[in-house]
Amino acid sequence: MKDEPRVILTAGFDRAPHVSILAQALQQRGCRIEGLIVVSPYNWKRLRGLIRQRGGSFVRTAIPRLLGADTEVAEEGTDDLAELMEEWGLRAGSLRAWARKTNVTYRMVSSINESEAVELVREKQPDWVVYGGGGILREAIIDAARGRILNAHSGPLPEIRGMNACEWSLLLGYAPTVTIHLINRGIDTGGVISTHPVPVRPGDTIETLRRRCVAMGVRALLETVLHPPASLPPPLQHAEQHRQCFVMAPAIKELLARRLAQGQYLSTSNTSTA
Amino acid sequence: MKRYKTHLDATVAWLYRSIDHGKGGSCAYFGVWGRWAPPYPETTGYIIPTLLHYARVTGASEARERAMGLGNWLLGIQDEGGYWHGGTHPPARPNPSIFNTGQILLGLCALFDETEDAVWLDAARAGARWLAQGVNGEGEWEQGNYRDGFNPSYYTRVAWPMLEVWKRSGDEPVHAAAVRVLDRILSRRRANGVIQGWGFDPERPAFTHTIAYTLRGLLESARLLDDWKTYGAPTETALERLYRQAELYRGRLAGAYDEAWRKDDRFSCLTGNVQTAICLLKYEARSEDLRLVNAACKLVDYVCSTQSLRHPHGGIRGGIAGSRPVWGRYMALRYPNWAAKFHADALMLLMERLEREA
Repeated sequence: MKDEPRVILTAGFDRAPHVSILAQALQQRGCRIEGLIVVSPYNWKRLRGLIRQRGGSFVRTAIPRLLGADTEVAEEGTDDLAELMEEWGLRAGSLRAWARKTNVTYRMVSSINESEAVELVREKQPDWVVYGGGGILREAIIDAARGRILNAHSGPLPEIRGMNACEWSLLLGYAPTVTIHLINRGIDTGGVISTHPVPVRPGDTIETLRRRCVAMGVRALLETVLHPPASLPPPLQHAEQHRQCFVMAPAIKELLARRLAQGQYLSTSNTSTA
Repeated sequence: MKRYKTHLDATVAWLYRSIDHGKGGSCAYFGVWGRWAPPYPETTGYIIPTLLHYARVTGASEARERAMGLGNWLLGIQDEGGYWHGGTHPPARPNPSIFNTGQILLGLCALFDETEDAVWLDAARAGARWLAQGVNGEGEWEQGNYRDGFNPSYYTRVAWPMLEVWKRSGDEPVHAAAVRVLDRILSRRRANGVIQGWGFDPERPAFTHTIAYTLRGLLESARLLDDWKTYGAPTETALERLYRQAELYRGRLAGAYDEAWRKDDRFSCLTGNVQTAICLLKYEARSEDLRLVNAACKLVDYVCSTQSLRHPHGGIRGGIAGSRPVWGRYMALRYPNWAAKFHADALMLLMERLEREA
């Protein structure tokens, strides 16, 4: 690895706060951002897929987020992402604006797998592609990145594969954990680089806990890029034996929210170990 | 949860209306052209356990009384040979029916459990014996099939009620015949989890309705025979696939699948959706994995989203259409009573599971 890690970041939308913070933090610490690949929210095919996958309520909740509005955080809960920004002295904003200001290549694509995105990765040959969202990665882009795609997954692997991992961890009896792993062709089956426990605190809601996982993921990704493993870990064995998790149905989410409110999942220690 | 209860009450109210129009039984369906169909003995039979379950869950004595009424109607139209005819009542022509007789046994067994009155079990035993006598050495029926000469794989759902009768009566020939039927059907299982011939027509993709019939028959038979390995485990591949499909398409399963799992998703078969939810919940009981409950929630939620709670016409209000869109290939333009029955069953199972978890 060279002294100056070269990184491409992906984002699911232009104002993804965690990608914005991570890009800035990496650059501040001497990394070279070779490109930002941002998936356009104004893509009918994508919206149709998301609406089909998550239902009409998705429009109500996701559009404001796509446009950069902050997600709701319970008054009594903490917002770890906001705390992280404060700690690092950063502000989240438009990735496009930041890229223009810092002269970073910016690609707005309708799909993370389209040729423009693949070509950018192939051309730049970054040390890492840091996945910050944008949908399921297909073969072409994974191959172009030579298997060096980092992801912060909000659950323990291989046990909790798939979506809403932070929530499913709790519901299925696992300690909330952020796992830094490589993305390969399976669903969360790439080799694990590191794990980071996430504490559950009094007053936590699903949203505050999610944001704590995101904040922990940002810290852990930064750490991984700055201090990479000596060698890439092998893919997880038999990961697919573990049933994949999907977006929580409203009734199951309600159940989890109720349990959280009752303090059922409180960590014995409330100190972060990241 | 409250939302589920609202949908459950609406569904049961629709079932009541189907009985009010059914001259003793429950009407097979309501057609969008504004007419109720004649009563359908087969589905009337298995609506009985639904109403008894509802009575237990809600304390509604009306549901219990109506279940008893349906049972009495079925006793009144049982043939001396022990069987019931296929199709709606009165039958256009005599046609002793294997599948329909099997489904009615479920209602009679439920009434026997509820009342301990031997009249129900005696009638069920007569039906089960008629079924057992018709099973040949290969585990197949030669007479009484829906399609002449074709023993569909969803006959697992005939073996199940036969085993229910055996559990209560100890009739060994009934048990032996049911096991032969199950073994024959299991011999058709393919590596991809499909059980060949699990549709109405061996040449066409199977509706999720009959796929779920087949899987449920096996799941319940495994329970009654206390043998998961032989009768339950063969359902796992198919159930896992349906779990993923339910999740990937947010509870909207394709209406039909062929034997390579290629889907026909121009429509969704709503009864198949909720029947699959029931199968997933039954399957989940073994492993206690809320991910399966999550998929069941989505399947039920999708069907709830298609249900009108305020339609001015009682034939549509609270009913469940055969297909979504309503002109889809399964029971086009009709609201079948079995769709409502399975919807109610799925809702009650789901509510109980969620309550237990809470």
